[in-house]
Amino acid sequence: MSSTVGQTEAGYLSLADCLAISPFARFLNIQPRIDGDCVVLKLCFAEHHIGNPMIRALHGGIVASLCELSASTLLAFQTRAPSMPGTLNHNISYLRSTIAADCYAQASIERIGRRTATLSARAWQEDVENPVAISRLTFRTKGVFDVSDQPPD
Amino acid sequence: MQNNLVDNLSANAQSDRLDILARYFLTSNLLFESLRLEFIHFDASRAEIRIPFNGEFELASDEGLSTGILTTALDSIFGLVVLANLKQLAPVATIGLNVDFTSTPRRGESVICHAEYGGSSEQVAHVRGHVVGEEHGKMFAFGSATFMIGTRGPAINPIS
Repeated sequence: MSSTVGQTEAGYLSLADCLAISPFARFLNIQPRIDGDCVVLKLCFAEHHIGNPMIRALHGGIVASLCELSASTLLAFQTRAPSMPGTLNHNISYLRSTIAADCYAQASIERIGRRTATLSARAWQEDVENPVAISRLTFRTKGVFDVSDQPPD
Repeated sequence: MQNNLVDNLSANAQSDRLDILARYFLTSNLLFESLRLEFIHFDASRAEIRIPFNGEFELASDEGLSTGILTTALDSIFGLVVLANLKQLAPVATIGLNVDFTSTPRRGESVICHAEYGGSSEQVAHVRGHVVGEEHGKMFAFGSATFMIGTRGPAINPIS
């Protein structure tokens, strides 16, 4: 688990450029940071992230989108894919209520196969040890990149 | 599973409640305004909303609506259907959501989200639904969600 959230901008590499061209990533107001092999995405809070204005909680779909982007970005980054992989399935469990504040997500690769890849992701706000949501995602890999170039699992 | 609680309300009361919920859904926050949601059908058992294409929600330029926005739309309409089935309005929160993506909308294509109430038991409600293309009805995603009823936070009162 990365512990560098909130540190200098030095860790924000060219991945930022990849996300900058994504309209949806811009809508989500996401900043990526690379720390070694880890990619942490930061959802910079904006009012349009609120799902229920009465309790000022982030929308579950916004948190899900953050987890999904963290996983697809990691997969694309690790595999040097020319485009973002297509999502086949997303299963997310919401563990805690969220607050109107920044949210972070980090994904990890469980397995990259010939046709699909399975990743997990977790999102947190104030405490990295207390995630607000955990995700399991499956992506299509066939046609996105040459699987022979993949690093070992 | 308990019965659809809204069945116990008078027809007028049900209609008023659904109108209030629909208005609240469309005007309560910036996210839903950004999505430019339009109701096609809404009753206690099911809801249908249209999401017009918006380039702001493409994952990459010149692509269709992102899977993330389809997930967001499904979660939104699922929650609405749960609220429509509560005897007394109370906060609800998604505790689990599963979505399968079968294909991707083309650039410029608007989508229709469907949600159907699946029942509730002991403060947990279940909903299922899918997303299809407006033009040809092609399936883009289907999924289900589980909601906790009466979560922490102030009670929702869209009238005030």
